[in-house]
Amino acid sequence: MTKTLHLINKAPQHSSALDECLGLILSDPQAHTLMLIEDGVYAALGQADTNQHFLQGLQQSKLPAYVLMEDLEARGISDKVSGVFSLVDYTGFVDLTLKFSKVQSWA
Amino acid sequence: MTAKKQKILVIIRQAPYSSVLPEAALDIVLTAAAFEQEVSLLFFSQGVLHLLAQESTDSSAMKNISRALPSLELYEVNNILLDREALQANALQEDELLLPAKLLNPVEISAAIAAADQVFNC
Amino acid sequence: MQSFTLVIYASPQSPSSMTALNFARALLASGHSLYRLFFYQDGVYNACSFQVPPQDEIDLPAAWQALVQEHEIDAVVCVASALKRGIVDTAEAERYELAAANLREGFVISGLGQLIDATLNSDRTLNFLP
Repeated sequence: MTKTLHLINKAPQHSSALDECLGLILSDPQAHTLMLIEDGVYAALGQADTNQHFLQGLQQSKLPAYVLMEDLEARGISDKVSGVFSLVDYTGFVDLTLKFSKVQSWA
Repeated sequence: MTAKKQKILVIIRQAPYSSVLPEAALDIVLTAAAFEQEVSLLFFSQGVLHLLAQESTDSSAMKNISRALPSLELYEVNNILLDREALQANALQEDELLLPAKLLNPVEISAAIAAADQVFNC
Repeated sequence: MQSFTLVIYASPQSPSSMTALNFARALLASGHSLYRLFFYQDGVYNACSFQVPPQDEIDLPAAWQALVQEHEIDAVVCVASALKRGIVDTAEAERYELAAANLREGFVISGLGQLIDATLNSDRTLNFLP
């Protein structure tokens, strides 16, 4: 089985990318992993009302999820991240892409 | 150029005239086919709207890819996939589409992604 | 050591071009290699030599160029995307009788086939979308 890392770079308020991505991958957490970058990191805000629905989905599905630390810090939200996410820096991001057979970007 | 062969899945998920990405995606499809790769094209989400024939062409400066779609067959791109849920969400009928396509549900789309060596999701 | 291809779709003013540059620097620092950078669509503006950014902003095209030259990276600019946006090397400038060439040194203009070749010959291909 091939494993895919899905990169999301838009906030959920701005793009349907996260919704559409999760609609495909939540049912198969063995084959897919999520990573938020750029404005996509706003989806990791643990207390934001708008994020509750998909954060619950992530938690229930046990789909692994990562968020890029540098992009959180640039936006001043690194201490507000939901516990569902693991934080990685750019070096960790590079390592992560190599743990998957491919990377699929969503904008 | 190498003789290697890969399964390349190209996804068009944005509506006509929304951005340059649908055209970028189609160009990747045609090039991958020219280099004899095993290429599939999936119309996903709003991307299914490209399968409607244009009624006129002069209202936008942007190129619409719909006119190029029938030529996919010439390039031997025969694996055309379609997001069944998006078709229903947009109230489109199969018989009004420009191309015959394989209708996929989310689980089948997920499987198509898993089966690909490389995905271009534009 | 693994080889990467990065496909840059957005202009230097887009966050995703910066992400791509940071990713490129990080992978090289980790001992991996870049098989190719492929500048596609608005990404071709990253290869233009005519930008004059304000002093308090990063000069992304210059930063790309420094990386490309230091590590001798194959940096390909999509010809169709480039011509459409007015990015030309001397050969194209002459062919279309344009006033000047503006492709940065270190970058080459070529076709989309270079992207397909890159997906075949590198271990990972990442798309940095606008």
